[in-house]
Amino acid sequence: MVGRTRPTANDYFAMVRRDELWVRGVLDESRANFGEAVERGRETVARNRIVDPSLYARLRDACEEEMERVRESIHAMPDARVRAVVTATTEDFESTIAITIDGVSVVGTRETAAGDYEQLKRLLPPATSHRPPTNHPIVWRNGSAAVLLHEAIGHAAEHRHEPLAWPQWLRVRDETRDGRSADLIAGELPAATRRESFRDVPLRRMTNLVVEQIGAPFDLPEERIEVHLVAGGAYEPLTEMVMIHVAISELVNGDSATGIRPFALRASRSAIARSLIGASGTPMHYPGVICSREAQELYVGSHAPLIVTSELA
Amino acid sequence: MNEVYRKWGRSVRREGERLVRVDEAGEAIENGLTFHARPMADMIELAAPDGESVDAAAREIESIVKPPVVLERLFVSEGSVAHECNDIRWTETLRRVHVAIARPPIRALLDLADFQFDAVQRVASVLLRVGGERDAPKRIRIAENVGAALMLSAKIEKSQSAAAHDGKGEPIGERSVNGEEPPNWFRPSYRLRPRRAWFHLRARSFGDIDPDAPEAIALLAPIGERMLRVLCVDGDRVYPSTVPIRPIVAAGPTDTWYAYGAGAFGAELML
Repeated sequence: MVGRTRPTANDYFAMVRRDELWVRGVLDESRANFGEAVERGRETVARNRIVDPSLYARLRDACEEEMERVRESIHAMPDARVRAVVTATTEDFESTIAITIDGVSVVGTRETAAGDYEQLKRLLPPATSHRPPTNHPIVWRNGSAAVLLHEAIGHAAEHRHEPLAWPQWLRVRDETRDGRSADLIAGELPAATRRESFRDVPLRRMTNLVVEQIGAPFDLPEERIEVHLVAGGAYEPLTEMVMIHVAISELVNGDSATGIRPFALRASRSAIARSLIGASGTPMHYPGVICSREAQELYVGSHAPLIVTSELA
Repeated sequence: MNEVYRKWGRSVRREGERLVRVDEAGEAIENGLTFHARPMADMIELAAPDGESVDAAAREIESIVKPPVVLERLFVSEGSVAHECNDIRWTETLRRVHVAIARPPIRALLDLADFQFDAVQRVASVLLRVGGERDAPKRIRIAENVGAALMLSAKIEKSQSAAAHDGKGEPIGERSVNGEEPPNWFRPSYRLRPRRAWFHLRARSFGDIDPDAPEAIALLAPIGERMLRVLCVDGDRVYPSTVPIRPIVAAGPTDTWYAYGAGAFGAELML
């Protein structure tokens, strides 16, 4: 064939993004961004304009209308630092709200924002919190086990690492917004190809991680660490080590609970697989995964039941 | 009063196997309360970056790295950029290279601002004979590419080097870096608020660099608060080590520029 063919839906991408940062009820930063990318063979050509005016108008209007609704939510959070990002693309639509109070952050969608905000205020650590103890089992509350397994199972699957023997009662899948699903425990790649912006190379990345338990044993240890919020996590593909930074947690002994200072856990994914000793309930929305890989930051929905692990180093 | 900054850019980058060409323009407006950033429709005449040289540079790096050493991550880019702020317009041409070379379980990180790959060649070569972890040597010589990454935090005498324009178009004067607020502004992107920063840091030469001391030739992880994870070469021995950031007893600046922060020149250091 001579000459270039028109791009198809599979090799054309366009996006419009609006983002705003509100600090204690005042608009601090406001950004608009838009552009398109066309893929031809191993080459991508990207620019910050969208040639089709009706497509541009449709994506822009979707962003503006959603941002109006997001601002309504933000007005109810006058004591927080709130970043709202709304992105409409030819493949997807996403609206996320990151809320920070006293240096502790949660992130979710407009639908979960009010609940995330209330939960963050409720969980904020007291001024006197104690050094983290060692050698304690951990109860991952509030869906926070989704972060642990995002790193240990999700990223391992993205890197095509060999599946491990996880407990029979555990299910971990990634769901795309159009209903496709990947069994991450079996090592399947996430089904969605995602990118942060029109400038970026699309990659197979997680969209919505769902952890479930079916008939798991459950016995709440008398003395335990209870994790409520995680500040971040990482998976090192060369060593298969997982790092989790715990932001808010407590040492619980019977009926008494003491706040613990932020701390880090580091364990291999095989050690994490061996540490899972029980779970209870249905998956809970966890407010907080912005996943960074190859310098592209993407929101990943996260859900997990209450999970118990034995001590992790 | 509104401060308006505009930027036009054309870039080509090799990211793994893909070649990505990006043309974009945008403006940032600060009104004293809110920072606004948005794309601009108007593009100006800018030299097209050389996609062939980017691709050739990427292929050169790929040819350097041989099994069992693997090229884990490769970004090579070239860009032509025009800036405008306070009625001042200036242009620049940029080259950037980020390479992660792995010999599991370790990974060497190299960030360069030109298509000269001596450091890549050396690191890829010594990784072929890397051994196990060793304790930090009592005295260690830090290679210039690693020293450049340390320049911002290094507690030594250093100076800002002169250049034509900062992020607001103002000239950058040569001056000693002290505890004061930097006089110039840095804008890594039009989408980010400018921040004060020291530009093009250069170490003042002092002390004696011991050429026989073990040498840290590459970072194995981003610089920590108190520790450096580095790849060490000591005669025939090559090993990873975690080195405490001790007082620097000697420094020797070089003329190679690196894109750490708002810029830093290479510096051989003795810890």
